[in-house]
Amino acid sequence: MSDSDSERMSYTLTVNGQERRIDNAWYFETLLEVLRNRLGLTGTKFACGTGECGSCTVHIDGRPVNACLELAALGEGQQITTIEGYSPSDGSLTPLQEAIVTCADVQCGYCVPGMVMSAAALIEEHPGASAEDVREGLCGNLCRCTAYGGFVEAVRQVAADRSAS
Amino acid sequence: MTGILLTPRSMAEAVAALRDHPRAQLIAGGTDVVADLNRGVPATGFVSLRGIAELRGVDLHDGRWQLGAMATIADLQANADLSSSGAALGQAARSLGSRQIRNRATVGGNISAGGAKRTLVPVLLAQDAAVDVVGPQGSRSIALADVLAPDGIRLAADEILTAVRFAPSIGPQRFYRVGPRNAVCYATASVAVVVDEPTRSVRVALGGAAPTAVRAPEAEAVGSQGIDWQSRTVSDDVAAAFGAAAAQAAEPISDFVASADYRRHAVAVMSRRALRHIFEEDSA
Repeated sequence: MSDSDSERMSYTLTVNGQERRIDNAWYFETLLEVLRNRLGLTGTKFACGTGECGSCTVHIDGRPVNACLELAALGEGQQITTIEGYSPSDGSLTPLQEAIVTCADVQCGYCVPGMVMSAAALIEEHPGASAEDVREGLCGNLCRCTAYGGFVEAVRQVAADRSAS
Repeated sequence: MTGILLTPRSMAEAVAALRDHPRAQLIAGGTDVVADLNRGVPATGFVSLRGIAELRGVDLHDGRWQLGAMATIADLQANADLSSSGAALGQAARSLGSRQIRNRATVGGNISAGGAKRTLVPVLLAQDAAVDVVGPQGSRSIALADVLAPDGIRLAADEILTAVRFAPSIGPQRFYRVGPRNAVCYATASVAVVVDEPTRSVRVALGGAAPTAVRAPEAEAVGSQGIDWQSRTVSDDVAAAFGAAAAQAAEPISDFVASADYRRHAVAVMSRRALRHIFEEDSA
């Protein structure tokens, strides 16, 4: 990205391993807006816009961040992974996704992509995480159907399996 | 209005960018600035400090901790000394936002934010921290206490905060807070207590208790004189007097989160408990 004196700018993002050219975007567009509205990657959700709910969680260079709080143009040169990139391309589910299906009483499902991205990063950092670790680690993800117990159990099981293997 | 997004690679470029675009806003981690954008605050251009590698470091320089303005809260947590369970800064860092926020929110942004958003400031005040700033005239260092203002920090419009520095103390520390919930919220009130055993001194700073974070000098005197330094114990009476003196230093507001009386009471209770148990190993 070059410094620009105009309100529009063009840049390249690396999303799910692919270079994606963004043309003529507003300089203040968030990563969430660019993912959803320009790249059609609508798995990442918008809810609060202030970093409280985590429904827009993506990985940048492997770490969970809120896409609603990133200026998209600053994301050049970083590895951005969304729920579409995390999920196996053949339509199957990861062990974490399977565990959430099994354990969690998911109702509306709106928080789930963010919850999965957050939990996947947590398990990478803390294999063997206890239920308490999972509760603290997922504090940035709200579920308004309040299915937390099931999520925590699912993530704890996968973390335990990870540390055992 | 013409929008801009500038990405300087050095402090010299950043200072020049602010000079050439006085309406542009500095953006560090973005967790505050972009949230405001999403709330509808119009953008007037940004100067991003993210590309300036020299602002990212967390290390000891000449016997003092130097935390770069662009060090993230996660960077603090990754430092074993700063984030050991006995370190108030690590305790405060753990209480700040969520993992997503901590991967982006910065030391400089937290100091520059207003009011209750400043999770780290009570701890840094209790460490007698100084801040380094750079502007067109060069760099200077000022006591953190002297730049705090209710809605931000009092620097010249063309100056940029580059680092915060403090001398490590030798002794136990505590950071306590109360808030609407245990995570992802600003503290309603907070207390940081730092004990330095070689000088037999106690420093305490309060958050959410006045328009800016403040030290409580009378409580510090009560603590320094009341602690039994020989046996490393604190009596109930000394702890209670310490808490009462800390609450005396508080001039809290009433707002939609809590009343002034609640905040003052919380400061008294947290200060008392922090000092009472300060020499106990496992109460962080």
